[in-house]
Amino acid sequence: MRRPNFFSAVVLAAATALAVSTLAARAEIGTPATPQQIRAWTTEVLPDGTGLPAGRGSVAEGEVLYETRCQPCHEAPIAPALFGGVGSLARIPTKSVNSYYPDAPVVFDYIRRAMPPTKPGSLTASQVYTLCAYVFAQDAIVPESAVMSETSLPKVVMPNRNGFMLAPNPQSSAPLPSASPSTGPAPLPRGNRP
Amino acid sequence: VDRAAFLKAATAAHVAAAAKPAAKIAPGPPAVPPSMRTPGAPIPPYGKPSIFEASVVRAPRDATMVAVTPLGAQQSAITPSGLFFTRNHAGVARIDPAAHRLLVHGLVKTPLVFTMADLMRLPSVTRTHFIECSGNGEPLWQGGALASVSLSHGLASCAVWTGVPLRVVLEAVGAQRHAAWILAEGADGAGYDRSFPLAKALDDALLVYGQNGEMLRPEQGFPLRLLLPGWEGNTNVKWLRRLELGAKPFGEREELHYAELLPGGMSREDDSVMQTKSIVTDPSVGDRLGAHGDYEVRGFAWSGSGAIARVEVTLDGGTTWSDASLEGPVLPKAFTRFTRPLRFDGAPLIVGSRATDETGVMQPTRKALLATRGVFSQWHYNAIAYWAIAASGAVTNAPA
Repeated sequence: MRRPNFFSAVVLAAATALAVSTLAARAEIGTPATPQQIRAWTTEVLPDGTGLPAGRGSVAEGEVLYETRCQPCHEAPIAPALFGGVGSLARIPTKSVNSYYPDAPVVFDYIRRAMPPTKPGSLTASQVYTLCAYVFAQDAIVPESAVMSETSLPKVVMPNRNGFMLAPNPQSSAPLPSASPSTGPAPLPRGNRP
Repeated sequence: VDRAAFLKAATAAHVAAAAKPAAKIAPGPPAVPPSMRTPGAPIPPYGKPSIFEASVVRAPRDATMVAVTPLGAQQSAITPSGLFFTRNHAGVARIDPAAHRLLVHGLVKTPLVFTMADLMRLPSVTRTHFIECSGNGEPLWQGGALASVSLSHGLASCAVWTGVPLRVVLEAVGAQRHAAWILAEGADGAGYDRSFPLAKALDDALLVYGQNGEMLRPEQGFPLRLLLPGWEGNTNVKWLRRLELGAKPFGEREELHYAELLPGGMSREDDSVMQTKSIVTDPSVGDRLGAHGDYEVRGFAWSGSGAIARVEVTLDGGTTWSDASLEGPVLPKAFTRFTRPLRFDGAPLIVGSRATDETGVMQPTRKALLATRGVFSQWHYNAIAYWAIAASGAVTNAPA
């Protein structure tokens, strides 16, 4: 009895796949994107630093900008903490940029993409580098003399760099894979373009 | 306080209290109401709820970022579009559909730009699915008690969605062989972006433009959103403008933010399926039962892994359970409404529900959930919840 059912299921699946691809192909819907379009639209920075624009910024410059553009919300606290809590995740966690994020380029990406909320996208690349420098310096992740740029930022070593694992789990109370940031699994594969 | 002790104390208080006189019956409305003596109002071009339903609104926790669905007032498995919960990261974007484009690129053979008109020419489907924010019930991890079922469970809603299977669009661009993840980006002020596995895209993901029979509401991503059925709300990117195929997770801020911090300090990424959950919405905290007699327990159950197979209801705080009736059609990754008769004679009750989905996963007790997840998890709280009905009929939170 199994064979006919299995066979018809395969035929049905194949027929469905064929029908869908025929429709999509026949429709010829959509316009080919030009390389210029793709470049202009692709703004994300990847964890390995791919996509970082040219620019540079110091801790001292970042402090001035932080106080005027960031502090009003981030220390209100309307918005999440940016620093502090390093080493706290295994105990009573304080999640901050410095305690939680596994790599530095994501910080650049998010500030440039979404901050400040009143005028997203308004900061120059160098301004974003100054803010990264200032934030990292608050927990001595970089020295006070640090200058962040497209070459130095990806080299910043974040405290929680081994703190993430890919682990889908559809059962919320099922036993979890055991690991800790200190014993650590292999770091996640990061970066998407050759 | 455990539930058994809680119930025992409440019962003792009930027995001690003298029997109250029955409430005086109020005079009824006139035999011929005014609505029979006057012509009715003109038909509004776009109908709105009765003015007597003015209290049934989304409760904003924040003017632009979060608003919860009034689940206690929801009459069927489908959430009205105007009451669908909303979680934004930069307010509600205003987008002209004529100017909107979707770019699909990265590890593809032919990168393509689609207009809304293009997308609406492609083969379409309609599906009923819930969306739940991974932070639904977040304060409950640390034992918080909230003032309404909206606040504790209302970051979940269910709608009928219309759109294009993402698979159709991926066939048009031709995914390269080593493509395995997709970055989805919205056209809002947060440039909100999340990546997710290609396997989900090929399974049941949709590019949605319709909601409950009309175009998407702006708060739900008009004119285009991603729908990953059963997956946490923040993966269902609204105001969708770009899909980029890559070989690995893109590691963007939002997928780190919504990773699950576990006891020991590790965080779990790609923990996106919303687990089996149910809640009694009627009665629920803040309600008050009136006269003694027959009532009906009502609620919703859902699972991101498939259809709901069973919902059980307890009236004694989890000591005994009995099957609730499931209202069909019972659809996968959708709200299923359940009911069970309730007799209230003034004896205190503790009402709760627990769901089991078709994969056999049962909603956990709070104790079981916390045993593996600790109290600092933030996301995916799905423990069984209880309401206490006092002798007076007042409904309050009961210990979980």
